[in-house]
Amino acid sequence: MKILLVDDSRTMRNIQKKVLGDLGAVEFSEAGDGLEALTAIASTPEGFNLIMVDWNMPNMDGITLISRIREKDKATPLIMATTEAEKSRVMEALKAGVNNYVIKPFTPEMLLEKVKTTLEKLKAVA
Amino acid sequence: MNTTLDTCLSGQYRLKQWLVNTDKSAQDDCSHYDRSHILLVNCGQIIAHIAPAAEDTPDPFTLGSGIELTSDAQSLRATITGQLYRQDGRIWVEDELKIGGDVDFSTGNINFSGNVIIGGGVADLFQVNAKGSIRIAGSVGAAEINAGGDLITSAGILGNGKGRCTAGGLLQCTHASSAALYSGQDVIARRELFGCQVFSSGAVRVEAGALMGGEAVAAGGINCRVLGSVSGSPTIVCAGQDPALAQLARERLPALEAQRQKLQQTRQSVESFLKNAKMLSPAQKEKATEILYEVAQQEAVIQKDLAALHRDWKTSQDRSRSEIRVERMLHAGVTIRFPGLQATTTTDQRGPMRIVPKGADQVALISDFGATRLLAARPFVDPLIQSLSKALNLEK
Ligand SMILES: [Mg+2]
Repeated sequence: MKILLVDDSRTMRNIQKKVLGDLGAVEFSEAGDGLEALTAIASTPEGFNLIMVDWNMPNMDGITLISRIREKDKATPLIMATTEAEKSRVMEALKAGVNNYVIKPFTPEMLLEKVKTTLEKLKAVA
Repeated sequence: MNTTLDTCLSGQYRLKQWLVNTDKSAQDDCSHYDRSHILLVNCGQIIAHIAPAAEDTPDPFTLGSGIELTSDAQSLRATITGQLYRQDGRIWVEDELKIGGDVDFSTGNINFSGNVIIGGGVADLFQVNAKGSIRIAGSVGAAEINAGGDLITSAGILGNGKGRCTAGGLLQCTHASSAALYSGQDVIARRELFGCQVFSSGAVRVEAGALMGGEAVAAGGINCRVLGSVSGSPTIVCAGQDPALAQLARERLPALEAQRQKLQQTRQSVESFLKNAKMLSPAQKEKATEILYEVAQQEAVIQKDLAALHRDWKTSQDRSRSEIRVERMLHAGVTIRFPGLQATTTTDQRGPMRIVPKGADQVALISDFGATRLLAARPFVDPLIQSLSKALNLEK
């Protein structure tokens, strides 16, 4: 399983890496902003099984990244993990095409649970 | 014997330089107790620089087992950890340390990674430490003996209040007095245990003699011919409680408690953060996520430690046996302990008998001829065991 972690905080990426490592054999790729993420996606023709996206990042923010990804790819599971907690923000992200939304601060269990249920739901639909 | 080495490297060599210290007595800064003529080498250690022997080389030698030439053929390397010998034109290393006579000033303290065999005894204040087993033909004085495996002495242990013997496995002697004896398995004294502190994770057996004075704690029960003494010298025996558990509690509970306190502090700091979650800046929210992750990590560490402790507790319970067997005589003045209760004998009782706990407040002396005598018991709680069971949530 391949997961792309997009967050400008290395600490946040490390935490996600450790928590999502519990999903099994996971190969992680990392990006510090939206532009880096697009490069990582372009250079991974087999695609990712999951992309975790932060909202607030330099160069290209998460919401722009999600719109750009969804222009071509409707299938890859996308989860927004952000400090943006307002309902309007959540709605905006869902409209842009995220499959789920995790609000920081989150506990490791909360993150793992969200990711698991999202992946299981998408699997069931497919 | 390494026959390959013997046949391939059968040439004769001459010694250019020893790289091991062949004479510790020449060292001024060395304690008298550490001076030794026994040469111990480690696996992989370069022992000497050598060269091929010529016709006129005095004392040439061949290579025996446990030793090899380095690839440049200029040096000798030990292939096992053990004792280095040079005798009769041969150099070799053995993984068993044999000492012909006593351990005393002539040998110094012994520290060895394999088995040790001592032909004599061990003098007062000397130490013998072996990762393997130790066999001692003579008697042990007020010395310190530590064996990773069995410790077998063919004579007695006369501890004089200072002797201390520890065995990871079986600890066996003919008799012992005024010594501390610790064993991961059974402690067997063929004739007598007098005034000793005995701690065994197996059974304590003095089948042909008396266990008198001192204290004996054995997870797997106690078996002796005579328990206590005519003079009524205080004797405490405890069966069914593993001394390794108390040791475990002593070693591990402080660290566990420190982890819990650290977790408590981390939790408090995150709780104060989360109380005002809506007011937090994005950076603070990320910091709170970090702390929540730390809390989870610390909890996982504690859970892992508790699970390991629980396993050890279970293993210990499985091998525990709350029974004392006395073949001939149980004297007055013996305090008999089982987990949770204790009773003291006030009169002599003739054996053969088994002694077992009965309910929460009695100790039963059950004669092999059928009669049962009950002793009123009072509570006995080992504070270390209690705190361990508390930590493991085992308290009723
Ligand atoms: Mg950010």
